[in-house]
Amino acid sequence: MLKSLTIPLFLVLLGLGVSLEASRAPRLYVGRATVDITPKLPVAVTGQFHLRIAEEAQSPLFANIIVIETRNGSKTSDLAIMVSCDVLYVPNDLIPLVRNEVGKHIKDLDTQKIILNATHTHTAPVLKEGEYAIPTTGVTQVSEFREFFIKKVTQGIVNAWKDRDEAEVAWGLSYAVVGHNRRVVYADGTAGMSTNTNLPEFRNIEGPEDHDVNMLFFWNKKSELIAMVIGVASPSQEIGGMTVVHADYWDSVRRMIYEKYGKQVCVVSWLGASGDLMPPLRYRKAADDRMRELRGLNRLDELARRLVIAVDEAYETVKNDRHSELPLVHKMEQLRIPERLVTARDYAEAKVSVENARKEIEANPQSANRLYRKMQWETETLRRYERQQRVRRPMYEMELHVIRLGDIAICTNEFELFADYGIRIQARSPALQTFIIQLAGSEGWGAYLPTEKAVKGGAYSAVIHSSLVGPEGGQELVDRTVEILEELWRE
Amino acid sequence: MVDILYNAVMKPLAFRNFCLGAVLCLLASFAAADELRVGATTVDITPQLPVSLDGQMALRVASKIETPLEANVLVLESLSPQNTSVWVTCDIVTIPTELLDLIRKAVRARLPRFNTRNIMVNASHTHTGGVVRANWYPEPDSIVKVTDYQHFIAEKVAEGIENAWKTREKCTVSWGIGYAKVAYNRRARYEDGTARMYGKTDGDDFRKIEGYEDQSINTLFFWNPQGALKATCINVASPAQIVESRYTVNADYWHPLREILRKEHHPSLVILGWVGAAGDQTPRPMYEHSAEARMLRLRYGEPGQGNDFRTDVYLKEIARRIAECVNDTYRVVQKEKHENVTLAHQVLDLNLPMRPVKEEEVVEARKMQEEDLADPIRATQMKRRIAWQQEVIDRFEMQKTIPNPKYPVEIHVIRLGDIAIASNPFELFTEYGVQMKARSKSLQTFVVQLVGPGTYLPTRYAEEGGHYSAIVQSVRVGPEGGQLLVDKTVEQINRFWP
Repeated sequence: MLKSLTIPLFLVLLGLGVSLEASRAPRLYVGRATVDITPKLPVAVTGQFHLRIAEEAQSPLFANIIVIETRNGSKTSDLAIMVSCDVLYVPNDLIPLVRNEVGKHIKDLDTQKIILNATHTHTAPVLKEGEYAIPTTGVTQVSEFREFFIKKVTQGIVNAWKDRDEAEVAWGLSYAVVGHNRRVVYADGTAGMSTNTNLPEFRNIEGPEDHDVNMLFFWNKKSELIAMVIGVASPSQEIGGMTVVHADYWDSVRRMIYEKYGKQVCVVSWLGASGDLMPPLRYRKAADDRMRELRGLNRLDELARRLVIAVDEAYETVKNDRHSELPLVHKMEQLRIPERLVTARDYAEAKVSVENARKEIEANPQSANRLYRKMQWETETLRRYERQQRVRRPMYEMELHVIRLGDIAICTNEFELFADYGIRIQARSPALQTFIIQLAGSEGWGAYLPTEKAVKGGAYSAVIHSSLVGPEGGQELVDRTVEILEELWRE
Repeated sequence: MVDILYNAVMKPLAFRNFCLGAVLCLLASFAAADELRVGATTVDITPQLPVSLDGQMALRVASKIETPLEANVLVLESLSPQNTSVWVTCDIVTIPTELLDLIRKAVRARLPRFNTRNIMVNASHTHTGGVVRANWYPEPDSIVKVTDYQHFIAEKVAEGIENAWKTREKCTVSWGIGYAKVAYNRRARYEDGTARMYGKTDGDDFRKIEGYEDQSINTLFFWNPQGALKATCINVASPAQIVESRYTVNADYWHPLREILRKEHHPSLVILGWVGAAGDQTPRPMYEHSAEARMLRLRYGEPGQGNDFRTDVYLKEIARRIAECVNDTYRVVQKEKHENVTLAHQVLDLNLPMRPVKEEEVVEARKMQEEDLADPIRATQMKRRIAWQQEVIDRFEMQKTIPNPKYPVEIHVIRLGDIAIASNPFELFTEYGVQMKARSKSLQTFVVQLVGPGTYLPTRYAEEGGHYSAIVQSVRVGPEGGQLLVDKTVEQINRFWP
């Protein structure tokens, strides 16, 4: 009797086991790597209109890489390879070259799952050809640095890929005042970027600030913390005017994290929607500076101090809420959103400005150091106008990645996205937390995506040359991102 | 009707010695750096039960006291020339003019030669304190009478000022600034250009949070001659209204904050809670509710109430954020204690242009009032809302005889060492506070709102968006008056730093 029951019971249990296995969420695997991408000196650094040749590297530049993979048994369920780079932006033409190179080293990898984002440090080498009139000798050439970058990032991705192992993840939210809105509105309705507020005509700070610090923590199977993602809505741009190589505030953050959590921790920096934000203050600066001086800190270390407090707070709160079996879904699509149209007046003005610059450079070649970058910037507007005349509804095509990892979402864009758009996505997102990554690739220097209010106010970051896509496209980016998020959460 | 408005709004202020336009009060004179003497006390202003609660449209009667309500008092004096400055923070929703008059009168009775003009009283804006506005809500016989509670507060505060004055001693002072996420702008904007206070942000028509948030926490610390912390002033640009809808007496986040700081420093630490320009702010989140709620659950191990933040746990959380910021600032600035500082206190009487009532607005107000009056139950419950509409109707009538009516306000501008303190009586939208801070020549500028009877002072942009806090019913002074308030305040601050 007992024997006759045992076999069916075994079969039932076996069946139950199979169905349990099938219904279990996939297992998380994580690998990480850090590679040094500090250039050979001297090198031209990018981010300002004038040419700067850096003779000194005051901090290393890194690419920090994390591979997040889920597996059902031994089969990859989905994956994301996230590469955070200490550069101004990663030009879109460079990304396929990295993917191609990685593809040579990792068989059968869907290299479209590789996402490269920039911390937007203004003290890193030029990565796009033709931006500045860089001397052709005695200075690291753009092509050299691009090759070096591709090689090092590929090496990092391969190392992170090999490093994959069972892991756990936790997510958390905290706050730190790092990014300040840099657009100042005056009584006549005009705006200025990083302009004065101590004036009778000052009326308001144009937009919001987002002081969220979104975090991911990863542990290996020995329960050692191996990586963390820190999402901050502020570019790494405190010392953006210096003529040196420097990772800006991320250098200080990493040093403090290594000291506190160990050198084994890979710190991945995700830059939230912050086209209108940056660390320098627009008011109450003297009070803030006094506090920092009383602490004996420089400004970079002060920003890092705030971020590390936020990290500590979140870490202590979520460190026991870890997940090792969870869904990972990585969607990628080519999103087409309307371009911002160049008006005939924009075109005419740009034409005059470009012509004047050209004449001045011809008359005085040295002035190219000062004028060339701006001239190129405006020349792009001329080209855009001419192209837009030939197309009925010109569209900007961008790579959009939307990822679900457990309860959290990760959404990318290619812009210096004004904070309002990020808040729109976060507020409407069905995810518990939504990490926005701006400058995950970029078409060009200064690809701001301003709000309608900013466009009306004008000034750098909202003028036509600064933005390839305007408020209409911005809303379409928000709507489509939210649509995909909703699909992911329905699934 | 005009008389009603005049009696309700204008008369209490009008009897003071103000003239048209800004008039400088010369009672306080500018002083050179001098030894500072400080007295500090805390008095209990918890009302007896049952008591009606101030801050919502409908009558709420509390039958439970969850936390005590306090008035914290600081008296400052410099000797050559002799200057006094008195700062009082009360756990109530606002400071009606009649209450301030009662306080000054009670102080004069105890200290006949005391300069009561330099008494600055602010409200923490808790919506779970006793009613302090006479004729604001229905008053059932069973509850504490509003006028009795006003006299009770006035006597207690006067007692506190007298004690502080009599126990003043040579002290040192430090100032500092830190940051904590406490202010959340509560006005959501939508695709069609409209705004909504506490509006939903998860719909596809949501476009933005309307205005700026000021996360700075300005702090003053006063040490006694033995070097122990005696008092602190904490300036947070967010009102104390986390549990605003409860039917209990509660000092909101200031209570757990005071508990933390007194435990850490001294049980009798005097703590003044100054609300910065925060007419458009709330301490509760407007989006990311689930993420915030989860962090709370994990941090405090309590289940919470879903995405409702009107909880004891959230009170603790906001108190924790502020306390950590204050303690961090304390550790930094305690190495820079100032013994000799300039103390100057100017009181200005300004006549600000009132926000005009438009014809369509009065039509709407009449319509809504009639709807409330048509239902006998609503007519009783919504007495406050009916009066709210009535004020608009009265103002409209008044405009017929006084085409450009002015709203008199008392503002205090104080210099203490390197810092400035500037008061206003409004729920002042943050943007105006930012203007003051940006244009001020002082190292730090503490903006203190609700030093007076209140009413919102919105920005022009907010007015365009409409909704509660920016509509005519919520507002006596509009953007034009707001700009004048800023300009006059900045002018006076900068006179202190020639």
